[in-house]
Amino acid sequence: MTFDTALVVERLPQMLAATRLTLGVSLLAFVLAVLVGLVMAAGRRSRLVPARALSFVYVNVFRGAALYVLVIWLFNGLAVATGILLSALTVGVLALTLLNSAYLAEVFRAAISGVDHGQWEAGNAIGLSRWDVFRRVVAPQAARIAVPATGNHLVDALKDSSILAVIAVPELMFVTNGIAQTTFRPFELYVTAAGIYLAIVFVLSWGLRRLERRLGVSGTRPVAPVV
Amino acid sequence: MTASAPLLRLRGLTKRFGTNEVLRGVDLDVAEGEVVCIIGPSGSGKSTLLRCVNMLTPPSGGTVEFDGTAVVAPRESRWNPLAGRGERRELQRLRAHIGMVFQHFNVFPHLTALENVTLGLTRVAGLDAAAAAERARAELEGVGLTEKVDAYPATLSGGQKQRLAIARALALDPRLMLFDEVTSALDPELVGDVLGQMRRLAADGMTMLVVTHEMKFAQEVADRVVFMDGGVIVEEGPPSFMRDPAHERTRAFLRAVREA
Repeated sequence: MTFDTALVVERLPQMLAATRLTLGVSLLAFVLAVLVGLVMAAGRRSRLVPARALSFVYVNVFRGAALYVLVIWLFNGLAVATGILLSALTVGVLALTLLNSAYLAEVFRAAISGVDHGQWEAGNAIGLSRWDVFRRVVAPQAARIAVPATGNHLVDALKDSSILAVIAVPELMFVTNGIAQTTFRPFELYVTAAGIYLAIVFVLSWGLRRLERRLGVSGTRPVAPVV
Repeated sequence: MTASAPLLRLRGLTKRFGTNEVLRGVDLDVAEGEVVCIIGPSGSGKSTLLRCVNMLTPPSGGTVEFDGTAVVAPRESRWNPLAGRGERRELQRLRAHIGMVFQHFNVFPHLTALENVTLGLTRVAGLDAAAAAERARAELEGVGLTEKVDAYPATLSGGQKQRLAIARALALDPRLMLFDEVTSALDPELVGDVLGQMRRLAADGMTMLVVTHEMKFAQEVADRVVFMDGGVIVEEGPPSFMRDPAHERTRAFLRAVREA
C-alpha cells in the first residue's frame, strides 16, 4: 500500500478551510458552555428551591444525553415535536453547549466547594456583600481549581464537533468524508484529519499549561498549603 | 466598667446543632474599651459564642446587641430571592465595625498583603484605590509588615499571616475586635509575636473579646475573664479570680492547663 502524499497536499487547503468551522463551532460552544455552566453551578448552590431544581434537572438531563442522539434529535425530533426548525450549524453549537455546560456546571460547583470555607467567613466578617465575597474572594481561587478540568472540556468540544458531520455541518470531518468518498483514498484523508485534530489539541494543551502556570506564579497557587 | 450602656450585650444566647446544645443561655456584656477573655475546655461553646456576635453562626435563640443595635441573622427564604435583603445589608454594615481574627488566619491567598487589606477598604468602606492603598500601608506598618506589602500570603510565616489578618480587620476602624483562638495554629516561637500585637491593641484602648488558651495573656491583659463550660458561663471576674476560682470545674480546667 502506498501513501498518496500528492492527494493530501492537493486536498489540504480544503480541509484546513473546514477546520476553521470546526474551530469556530467548538470555541463558540465552549464559551457559551462556560457561561451557562456558571449559571447552573450558581443554581445548584442556590438556597432557592426553584433554582436548585431547575439546575439539577438541567445538569442531569444533558450530562446523561449522548451527543449523537442529542444532535439527531435536535435536528429532526425537535421539528416534529414543536415545529421549530434549527439550522444544522445552530443544532451543532446548541448540542455541544448543552452537553459541555452540564459537565462544566459540576466542575464549577466542585471548584467553588473546594475553596476553604474560612475564606467565605473572612469575607463576610469584614462586611463584604455576598456577591463581593464570591467575586473577589472565592471565585478567583475556584478558577484556579477549575482550570484543568475546564480545559478538558475545551478539548472535548473540539473533538466532539466531528459528530456534527452526521447532520452535514461542513466542518472538518464532514468535508473529509466527502473527499474520501470521491477519491477512494480514506486512509490518507482520515490520517490527515486525525493529524489536524491532534495538532489543534496540542496547541490548546500548550496554551492551557501556560495559563495554569501563570495562575500559579501570580500567587493564586500557594507554594505551601495555606492553613 | 463604665456606667453607660455596654458596647456589646448578649442575652440568653442558645445554639443547637441538631440535638447538640452548644450554648445554653449565655448573658455577657462588654463595655467600650474593655478586654474580655473567654477561657474554657474545647467544646465549651466559647468559639460558637464569639461567632454568634457577628452572626457567622446565627444563634438558635437569644439576642445580640451591638452599640444599641440588634444584630440579627438575615432571613433565608427558600422561595423568595428578595427575602432578608435589608437585614443582610444592615448586618454587613455592623460587621464592618466588628473585626474578627480567626484561628486559621483565613487571609486571602490570591491577593498580596496590601490587597488583602485594601479589599475591605474599597468594597466596604468605599475608599478610592489610592486612599485605600495609603491606609493599608499604614495598617501593615502598624503590624510590622512594611517589608511584606507586595508579598503573597504563601510566602509569609504563620505569625505574619496572623498579623496580616489583624491589619485587615483594623483597617476598617472596628469598634470591637473578636479573636478566635488566634494563636492555636501557630508555631510556639511565633505566638509571642501575635500576642504582642494584641497587647498593643489592648493598650490603645480597643474593645476586645478574646477566646484563648493563653492563660498568661488572659491573666495580664484581660480586664475580665470568663470561664465557660458546657455551653454556659460558669464563672467570671477580674483575672485575679483565676488564682483562686470558686468553682471546682474552673479549678480543674486551670489545673489541667497549667500542667500541660
